[in-house]
Amino acid sequence: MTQLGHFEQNLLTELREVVADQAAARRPRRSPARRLVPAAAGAGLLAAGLLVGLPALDGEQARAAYAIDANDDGTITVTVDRLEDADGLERQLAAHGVSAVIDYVPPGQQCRQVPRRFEPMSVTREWVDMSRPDIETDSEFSVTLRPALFEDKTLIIEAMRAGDGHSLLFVSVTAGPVAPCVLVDAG
Amino acid sequence: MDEDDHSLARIGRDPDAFEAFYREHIDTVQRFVARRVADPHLVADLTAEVFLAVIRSAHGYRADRGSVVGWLYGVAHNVVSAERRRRAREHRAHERAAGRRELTGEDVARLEERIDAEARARELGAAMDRLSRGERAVLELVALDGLAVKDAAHALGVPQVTARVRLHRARRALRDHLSPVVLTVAPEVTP
Repeated sequence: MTQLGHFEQNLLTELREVVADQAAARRPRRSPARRLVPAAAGAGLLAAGLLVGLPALDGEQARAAYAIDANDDGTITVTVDRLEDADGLERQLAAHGVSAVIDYVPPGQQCRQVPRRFEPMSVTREWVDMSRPDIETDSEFSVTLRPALFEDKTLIIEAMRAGDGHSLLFVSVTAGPVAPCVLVDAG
Repeated sequence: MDEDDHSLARIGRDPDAFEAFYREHIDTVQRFVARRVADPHLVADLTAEVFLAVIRSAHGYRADRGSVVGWLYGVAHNVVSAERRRRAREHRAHERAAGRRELTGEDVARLEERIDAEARARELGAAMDRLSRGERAVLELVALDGLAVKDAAHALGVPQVTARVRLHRARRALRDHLSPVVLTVAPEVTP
């Protein structure tokens, strides 16, 4: 067993707390109070982007902004409760084998559309499924991905808050490079 | 669910189970990172991020798909690769440069010692820049980290035959560019 130095001991203490927090957070299930309201129809074939509604903030700040669950069929389900910590979500997706570029855009702005940030691929629900039943009935927004398909590909998520209290989410996949999001005024 | 599945799943929710895993694997993870990164603060940050990723993804581990160490290398590989991509996106480069973790002089000395010990591995890593991402990933895990091809395949989530083909291509691509020292390394790890 390794003799731990100062850094390793501090890190261990910190990580033990993370484990304890995670264990506590997993016990209660989410409240059914919040419902997803699709902002655009159709969650079928995913092409350049797919648009859905995200629940607005409701004061539940203590809960993690997102969660990733591994499913028995080799897919993972990403649940986003708040548009925060995009970097953290990117790192966690990377740990599951999915390279991702995630941008949460401030109200009233969007990523510049021209020139294109990336060349979108046309992919099916096998890649990115936003239509699993719980999306329409449960309180949370979620996307189910199959990491095995994402080798040398990049998942792009761009989310922004709309004026009606919901947020819009675009999900795309590309086989090429992704330019940084350049913020411009929406509309 | 077999025993390994059980013990791995527990580290995400049982601090004592996590501590046992951490003590067993902290050296492995630090060496893995030090083979790829030469800044002590970044080694510290990435070591922390690998274990955070372990905590969050341990419940997805399946013993029938490969060894725990192979899985751990897969997680570490993904974290370090994400960091490389992030650093390539220049607007994020600055926030990393300073390092977020408090390190004492002794911590820095220990990490630098580890980094120095892995200097040759990083030289090989630099020579790999000419490879595709997939080829490089397999060659790194096999030649830098000493994994069997089977475990490297598991770590990367690709079939063994794919890993073998990529390894073959990577070696062929590098053959003319490696120093004699490195050339003696790669064939020894051929399964």
